[in-house]
Amino acid sequence: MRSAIYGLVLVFAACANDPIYLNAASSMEAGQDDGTGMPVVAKQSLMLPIKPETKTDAAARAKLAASLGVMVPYVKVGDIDVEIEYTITNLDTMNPGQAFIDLNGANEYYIYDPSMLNYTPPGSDDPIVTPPLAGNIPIDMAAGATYSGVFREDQYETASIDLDEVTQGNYNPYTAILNIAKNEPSFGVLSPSILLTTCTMQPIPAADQATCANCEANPDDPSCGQQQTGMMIPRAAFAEMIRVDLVFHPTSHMTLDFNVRVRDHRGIVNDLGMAAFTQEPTDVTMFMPVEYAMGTAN
Amino acid sequence: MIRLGIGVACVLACGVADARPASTGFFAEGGLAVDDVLEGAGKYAATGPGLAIRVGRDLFSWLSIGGYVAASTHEATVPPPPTGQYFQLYRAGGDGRINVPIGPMSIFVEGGFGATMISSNVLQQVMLTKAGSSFSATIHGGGGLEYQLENRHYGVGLAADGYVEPEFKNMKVLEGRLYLRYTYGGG
Repeated sequence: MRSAIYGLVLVFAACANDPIYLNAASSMEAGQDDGTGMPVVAKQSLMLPIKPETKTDAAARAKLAASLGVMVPYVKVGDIDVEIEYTITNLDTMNPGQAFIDLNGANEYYIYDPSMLNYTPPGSDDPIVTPPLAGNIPIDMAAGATYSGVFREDQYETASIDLDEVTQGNYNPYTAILNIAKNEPSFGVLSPSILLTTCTMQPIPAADQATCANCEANPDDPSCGQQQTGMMIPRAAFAEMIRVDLVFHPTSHMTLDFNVRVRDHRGIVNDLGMAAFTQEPTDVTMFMPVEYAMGTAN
Repeated sequence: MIRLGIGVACVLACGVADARPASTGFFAEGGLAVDDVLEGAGKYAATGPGLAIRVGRDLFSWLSIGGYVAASTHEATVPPPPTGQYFQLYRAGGDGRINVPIGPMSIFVEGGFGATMISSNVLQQVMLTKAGSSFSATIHGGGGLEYQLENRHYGVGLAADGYVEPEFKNMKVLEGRLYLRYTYGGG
């Protein structure tokens, strides 16, 4: 009898981490000619249906922020685990192709959109292509084939941390993405890059013109580089992405269907899933992140 | 029809007379099952293993009532994405069983009512569940065979039950179950 009771406890304890599935609004279709000889690129976003913060949670968050001395987000890394599953279909039944999926997103503070981020130093002849937070790996698709793949939970968590490092920490995206961040206990905030901020202003302030001229001529000068400010963002204050932005850019006509799977450890995701936005709009938080921009837009 | 009734009555009388001695009283039963989702919903949920625990009391040697908890796990075979995802059905309720002993065996029929909880909304995309709804009433019925061991407390049985979940678009599941039963008390 005792073993039966233990078995029951195990079975029902397993319910505690059951996932919720959020379907994308529609299929993404891309790769066909847009009329100018270029392939169509499809973009779609999915905002997670997060419930409004309770007063208790808000008070606890304010207390934590006061003790850490940094901003603490409502939805933190570790509160939810997110996985994105996708299926690609090559509509071209005669020819193979390659599919590329870029994972970007937004946390409650900033939107990461590579097209708004230009890390090419002024005057450089070698433009830097801003990378996505994850993905952009070629997927070979045979003619008429279907392929299912996934952005794993750890990839999403890493992307969230990278977004935070780029936006709050002033990291170069390549530095953030090439550094494996998923187990980092904290990251240091760097000073903004003078070349990409002050030196891209129109006009450059008079006091900074000499510095900008020196840094454009000698970009490797240590005084032109970013410095550690001494401020550390601890893991307890890492912001989780609450919006998924996918960019689908195949080489031939293909469709992409995706589905977001969320494991909610804090009970902050609305049980209605995507239906919450229409059926219970007051029980969903409408986050308003701002577009994070750097340099002049691409 | 009258002849059939006389025949059944004779079988019953003969059966009871030859029944192997068995305890009656409180019992506990644990079983391993295979659950198959039938008909339309069967396209979207694969067959999966389950387990069931039942406790109750024999009111008479031929009638028992009890409560059960059960769980089964199934792969969601919905149109991708997602792929390779699983969901569980957790059931609990009460039931009754009428059994007719024939020698060391007994034939029984059982039925009951309860509730089922589905673990996730993975079947929502094929509209088997509704947004925010993960519970359904459950009605089940079935029967089986039980073999009474020489030890009066133990019996092993094979049962087949069908259950219906009205809130999950009348999803129907057929369960085959092998169980071990222990009855406390004397005969």
